[in-house]
Amino acid sequence: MIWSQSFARIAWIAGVFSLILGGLLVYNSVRLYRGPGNGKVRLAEARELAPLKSALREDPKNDALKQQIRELDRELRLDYFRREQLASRAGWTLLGSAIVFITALQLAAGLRKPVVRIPNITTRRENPVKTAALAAKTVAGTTLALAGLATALFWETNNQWQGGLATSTKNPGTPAATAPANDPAWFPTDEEIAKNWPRFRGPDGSGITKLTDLPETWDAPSGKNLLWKTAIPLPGENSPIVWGDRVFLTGASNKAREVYCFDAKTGSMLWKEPVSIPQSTRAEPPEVMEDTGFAAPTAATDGRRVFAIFANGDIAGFSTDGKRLWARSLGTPENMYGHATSLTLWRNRVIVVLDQGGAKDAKSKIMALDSNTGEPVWTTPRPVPNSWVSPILIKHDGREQIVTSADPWVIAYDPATGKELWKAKCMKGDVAASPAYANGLVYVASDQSCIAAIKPDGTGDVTDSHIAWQNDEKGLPDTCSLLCDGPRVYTSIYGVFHAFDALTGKHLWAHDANAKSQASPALVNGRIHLLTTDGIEIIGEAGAEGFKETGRATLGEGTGATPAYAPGRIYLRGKKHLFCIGKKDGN
Amino acid sequence: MTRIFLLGIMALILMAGLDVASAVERFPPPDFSGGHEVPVTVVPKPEPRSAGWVDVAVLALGLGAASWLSIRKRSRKGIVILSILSLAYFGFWRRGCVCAIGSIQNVALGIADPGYAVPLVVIAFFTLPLVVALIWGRSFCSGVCPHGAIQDLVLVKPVKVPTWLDEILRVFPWIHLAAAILLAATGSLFIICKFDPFVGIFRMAGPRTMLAAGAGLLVVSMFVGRPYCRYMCPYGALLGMASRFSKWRPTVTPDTCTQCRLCENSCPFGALNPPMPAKQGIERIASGRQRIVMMVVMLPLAALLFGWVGGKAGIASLPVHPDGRLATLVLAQERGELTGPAPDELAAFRKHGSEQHAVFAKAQVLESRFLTIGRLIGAAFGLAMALKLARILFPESSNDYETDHGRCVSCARCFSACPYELVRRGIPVALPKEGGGNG
Amino acid sequence: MPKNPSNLSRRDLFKSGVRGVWLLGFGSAAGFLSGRENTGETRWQIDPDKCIQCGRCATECVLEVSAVKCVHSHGMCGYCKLCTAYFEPEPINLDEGAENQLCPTGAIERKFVEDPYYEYNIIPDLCVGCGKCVKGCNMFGNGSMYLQVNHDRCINCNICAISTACPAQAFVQVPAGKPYLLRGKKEVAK
Repeated sequence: MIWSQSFARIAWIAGVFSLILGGLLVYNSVRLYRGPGNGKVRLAEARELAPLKSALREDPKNDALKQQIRELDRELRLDYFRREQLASRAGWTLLGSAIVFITALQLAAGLRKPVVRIPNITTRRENPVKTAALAAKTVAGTTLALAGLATALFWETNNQWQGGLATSTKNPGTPAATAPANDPAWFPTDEEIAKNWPRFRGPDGSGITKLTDLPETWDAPSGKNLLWKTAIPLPGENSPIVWGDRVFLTGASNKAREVYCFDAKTGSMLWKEPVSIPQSTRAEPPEVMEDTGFAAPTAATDGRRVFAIFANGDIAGFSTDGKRLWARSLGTPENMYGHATSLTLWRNRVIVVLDQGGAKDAKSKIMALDSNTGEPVWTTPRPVPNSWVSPILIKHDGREQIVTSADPWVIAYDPATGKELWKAKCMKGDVAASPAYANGLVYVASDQSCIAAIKPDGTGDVTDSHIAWQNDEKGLPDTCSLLCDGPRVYTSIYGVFHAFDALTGKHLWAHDANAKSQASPALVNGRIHLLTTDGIEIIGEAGAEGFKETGRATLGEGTGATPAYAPGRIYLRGKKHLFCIGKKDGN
Repeated sequence: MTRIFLLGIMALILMAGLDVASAVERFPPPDFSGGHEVPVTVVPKPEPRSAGWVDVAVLALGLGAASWLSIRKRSRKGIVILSILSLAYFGFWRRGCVCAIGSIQNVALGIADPGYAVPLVVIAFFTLPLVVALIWGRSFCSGVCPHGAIQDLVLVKPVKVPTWLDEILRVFPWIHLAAAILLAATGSLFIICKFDPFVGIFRMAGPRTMLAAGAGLLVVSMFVGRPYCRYMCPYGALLGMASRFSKWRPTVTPDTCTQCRLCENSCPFGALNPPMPAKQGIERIASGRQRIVMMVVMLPLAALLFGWVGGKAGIASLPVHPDGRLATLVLAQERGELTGPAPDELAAFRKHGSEQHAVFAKAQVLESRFLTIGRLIGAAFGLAMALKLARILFPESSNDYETDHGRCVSCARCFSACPYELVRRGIPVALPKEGGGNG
Repeated sequence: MPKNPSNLSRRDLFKSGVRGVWLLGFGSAAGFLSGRENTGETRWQIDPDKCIQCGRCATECVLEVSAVKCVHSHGMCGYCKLCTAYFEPEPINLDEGAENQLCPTGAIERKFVEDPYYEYNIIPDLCVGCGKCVKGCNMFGNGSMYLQVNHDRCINCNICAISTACPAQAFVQVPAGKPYLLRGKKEVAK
């Protein structure tokens, strides 16, 4: 009992001490943090010094005032740091005394109890059934009350953003906020797309332009038909894209990634914007082949926004005025040569094919990002290893499809949902040539397998049912994409040009242009255009019998990019410059 | 003179363009003729702290020890020592982070957002105590959780909370859990961490309100057993649910129960159940068929009702998310509804932000997310409440005094109230007859 | 009272089943989450490009004195005689007098190098992370001063209290191995 009493006394002392110390701490903290803002405005400096400082400003020569400010400043700072230190020490002391208090209390309480006590219990036993009934009523009542309260509280709450509020916020004071520009569901019409060159190989990714007023010859070094040329800050193998009077390109090094916009009329750079995402800026840059570089994928635009992806998996959306809308890192793709697949657009979605790693890694995927926000809308895994094919968007029998090609599967997806529509097993090795669509057939090829034509109206695995023809004799392309002018499909490998019958797959002829080419061939004004790595544009007519070269044009700079076509103009990207070719007299 | 000159310079700079976002070289770094060496930027290295796996190891050891002490060893003293150690390690040394209670939020965010990788340590902290609860009951609460330990250690004179109040208050952990999951899964805010009462005490620092709440709750804990665990802890709600299905759990008596009623008031947490007569007693609340019909009606009804409420609550919480808040602010400014100085959010948005319609589009996506997740969580909450009711309506019949399967936190206090336990420990006592002294 | 064995076993069976389902659920959730491409441990940091120097870093940190402090990348500094990070707007004189200094704790040291260049150093022990100097440097200077979470002090809360209060969403989680987002090129850990 003696012990118990002394513990009780200790508890008393420690308790009173803790209380006093706690009070002091509160007082100190009030002194330390005066003023508003979470009760934590550090230093009274602003309040007490400010009037003196402004007085000094009125009377800059007043040395006494100056001295006063300096002394008060010193005093305030010392006070601040002293109190801070005090607070920290007092905190630990308080903890100590609280521990003493509680321990003493527990011991006092424990010692007061006799060790063994078996008393007679005289209270009435509670009826457990009654208790349960009370508990059930309470729980039910509380739940109902809660539901009622929440209903009353949120009765007025309605989804305001989904009701198209975002689009209806027009304010006369801000002319920039026009309704359609704010509409997240907006996308360009097919006609608008067809008029421009919004992606790799043109509006439909076919490499065919319907324009007829394009120059047939040029010589950039001598200035013939050269409208302008502008230096590009960072290198890249991506091709120019054009919408209206703006030309877009991207460039990247192992450190920096940039998107450029050029004025189509003058060639002056309208804007350049970096794509820097903190996490990936600090990550190791991907390993890429020199031929691929860090900016191989071509950008895409819908006329209001432009989207760019880089070898490190950074993807960003800008307004065509150069305002960054969003940026995200998709993670560095594991790619032997470097990521090179270009972007495709479908309505207000950016379609990204991220084929990476080996076939067993299961890391490849195709995804659609919301072009307003960059948020993924759907993601579908792809059972293929790294590939370099840019997908094409086709519409066959009213069914829109994104056609991809990789080892071994050629797969078509529903652009709205990402569901697999059909797939065919016919490719092998490093697949890089982008498919072509004509005659109701999808043409695919790779240099280690074959060139094949597939009927895109099947579902599921169509390997055995829908491959119209297949040919693996010769002329299979490595990087250059396929071109189909109707009767014939053309491939190009190492500067040798091959033609196949588009309906039977029969190899027709080969033409050796004695030049190396990385760019994909194009069909301009009925003639085949093929840009070599030395910057020579080989132009010729292809027929059933063979190829007849009709002319050559010179860029004067090496290149791996595919040209873009706009009314009266051809845009070519050299290793260092962007060239605009057009007839000088005409417009 | 100098002053005018300086003002001139400033004005020039101001005109040169104020809204340049960030690091721009307005003044080129000088070439020093005297060969002055430009210092390199120095940043302090991270303080070496125990690695994550050490925490996991301590947690696993603690869980094992707590289970052994409460079920095999039946030692209150051991549990107290373990509590002190856990409080020192997880509380004051690790300063409250990493913690199983907070891990709910990481896991919720991880499940909802495929772009968020939950650290393995956090996954372990979430899973281990729950798995242990399925096997040996809430050992985590007894002496491993620093929050539980600090409350348990300061409990001096427990007061019995009346049944009706206890039942009302026990709904709050579920509300806390639902709100925490909703806000975490949408990536808005981790409210468990933000409104944690004790972490301020562990850090000996924090917002004044947090410290005051912690101190206040500790004073309450001296008289009401574990108020946070019983009436606030969202993880406790989960653990309780798991431990209802545990394989083993602490029993009051090591031997047989003679219903001597000596232990009746030994549990300060309201987790000791008196014998529940089989069938005929319960039938008095409602007949078996009535109860089954009630359940069949109640379960879907509760899910639907609270699903609807949850969706509404979700939408209402949109401004808690930074993007939702920004969109709301931008809209308010657009409509001229904003009074007072523009908040910093808008300043930041104007300075660096993206286009307005992108912000709105984000809000649109977010809102539908809030709605979906809110509905799901609301429905789950409704089901939890209905099941709570079901558990009361379908009690397990037992002849003995038993620890409540969900509520017992394995603190080992009730053991020494049982005369058979005293016999087990070798203390000579006269065993009482059945039903207490006047039974 | 004899126990009813059949009733008991039915309940036990039910319980075992539920237990199994729970375990399976935890297992698959844990597996699902840990199977995700794990970025490893992270630390909180400020993206200096997003920071608008609102001053909340000084007040919102759970620590008594904020873990956020100013960092100076000397390589980017213009060594200005009139440093807008050091001096109040409209200073009386360009000297070290308290009446001219912007920093409320006097945490910036100003050293003469050669005419007209001055070197500025942050004294971390005095810095409270209010960001006044950062605002001055970013608005009128090169932006060589910026706020960073100092990881000798940061306790890496599950959710950083400042990050939830940051109006510019400038707080990001970075890999623990490289916990700073420094400007300029030269970076060395002490």
